[in-house]
This record gives sequence, C-alpha cells and structure tokens, in this order.
Amino acid sequence: MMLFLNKYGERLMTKRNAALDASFWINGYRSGILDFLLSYFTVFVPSVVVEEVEHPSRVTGLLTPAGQLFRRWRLGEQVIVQDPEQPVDWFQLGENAAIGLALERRYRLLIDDRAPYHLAKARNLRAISTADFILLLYVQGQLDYDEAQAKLGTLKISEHMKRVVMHSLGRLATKRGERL
Amino acid sequence: MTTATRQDDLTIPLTPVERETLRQISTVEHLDEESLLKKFVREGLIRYKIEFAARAYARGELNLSGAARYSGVGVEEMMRELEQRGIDCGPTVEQFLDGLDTLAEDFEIEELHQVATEMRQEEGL
Repeated sequence: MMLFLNKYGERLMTKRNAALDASFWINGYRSGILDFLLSYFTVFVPSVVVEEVEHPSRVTGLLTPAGQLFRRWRLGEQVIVQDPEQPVDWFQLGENAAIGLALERRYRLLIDDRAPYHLAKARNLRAISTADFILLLYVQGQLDYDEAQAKLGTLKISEHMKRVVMHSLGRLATKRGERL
Repeated sequence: MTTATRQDDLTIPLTPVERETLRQISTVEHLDEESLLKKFVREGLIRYKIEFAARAYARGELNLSGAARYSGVGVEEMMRELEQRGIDCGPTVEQFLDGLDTLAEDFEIEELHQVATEMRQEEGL
C-alpha cells in the first residue's frame, strides 16, 4: 500500500497493490473504466495473464482492441509484470496466476470470473470486480449517476446481478442526495 | 470409418456428394483439397475444445483461465463463447457485495459498506 501526500503533508490517496486477472481487464475495457484504475491501484500482472489478454483473435490473427491497450500499458510500464513463485495448476477451479500472485503477495485481486471466487475467498483473498469499481468511481465523483449507470449497463452479467448492481447504485445516489 | 496409414495420417472415406462439395470449396477458396481438409479438421478440433471447456465451465469444473488455456484461445474469446451460450461468467451477487466491502475498507468509504449490508439483507444473504 502506498500513501500519497501533497506538499502540505495532507493525505491524498492511498493506492492499493492489486493482482490483475484477465476477466477484469476485458470487462474494464468494455465498460471504459480502465483510465481510472491506476489512480486507485498499483497493478501487478502475471506473465500468463499477459498472454491471455494479448492472445491474437482466432478470426483476424490480430490483437483485439482490449489486447492492444493492454500491450501499450505493459510496454509503458503502467502495469508491472510479476509472477507468483508457486506453480499454478490450471485445471484446479480455484487456481490461476493472478490468484497465486495475490495470495503470495497479499495483494487485492481484480477479477470478474465467478468460477474461482469461493475458493479464493476461502483463502482470505479480497476480490474486486468491475461493477464494484464503477460504484467506487461514482462515490468518488469520477462518474456521475448517468455515466455510472451506462457503464454498469455494458457489463455482460445476469439479469439478477444487473438488478442488484443498479439497485446498489440507486441506494448510493439516494444517500448522496442525488436521487429521491 | 477411418483407416490409419502412417502414424499421424488418417484416411477418411467420403461419399460422392461430400467429395464433390470438397472439390467445389477447394475451387472457391483457392486451396488444394488436402490443405482444405487440414483446415477443417483443425477448426473442428478447436470448436470441440471450446465446446468441451464451455460445458466444463458451466458445471463449475474449470475457471476462465483454465477454459481458455484448454481451448487454445484468449480469455476475451472464451468469455465471448460463454456469453454466446448463455453461460454467466461474471461475478456473483455475493462476490460483488464482498467487493464493495473491500473498497469501503480500503478507501474508507462508509456508504459502500452500508449499501453492501442493505443489499445483503434484501437478497437474504
């Protein structure tokens, strides 16, 4: 965790270290919230996740737009490539490289994939999804209500989940006096 | 019926209609018939692996990384394949609400914690 102070010694922002899973990057790209990510997190990415995101499209043989942006960030060292020390068993539900890295380094885990969540939670990992991050951006004033709603609307989530996230946004707006 | 000739070669009998279809596609695609058959087999193998991985994901036996790795595609493509089959790979409600609590704690925003608590009660979690 890093603490940032202004010239008067006032606390500005505490950034958290986080391990990035490919699912968060893809959904983050789709919803257009990645530009805000580095204001809140120092992002570490296992080299396997780099391969997963920068995998060329089977149809075109080219990088997807999400892959292109990721490569720019990686080459610009906006994300830090770091690997877990323990090998990953790919076909174990609760294991992937980002989870391994987060466990070893006690990082937060940026992940949207539902499959490994319960096992990750059982190992005391704290995970954050793109929907969570969009709500953070709303309460921090980085997005207004309509923008947050639109970005949540881009997420490919179940209807039930969509109702829950929209309802959560509505409750936050009410608490802030922005909606009745 | 298939017949093995050399170690990695297979001979596959085709019906006259299939043979003629192959000849026509070969002309249209400007690919000789052997290259075309190789292409079809390779694409078919990938399709099979994606289908197998999607079913394993839906049964809770693989995560996204494992499914993409098994299929030989990127995670973005695997997510699209799951979405096309109506298989939800996004976060669960519990995962989302736990994430709000984490952000509330990390960035000291009580409202997020309050909303997570209220939504848990509403959802009976």
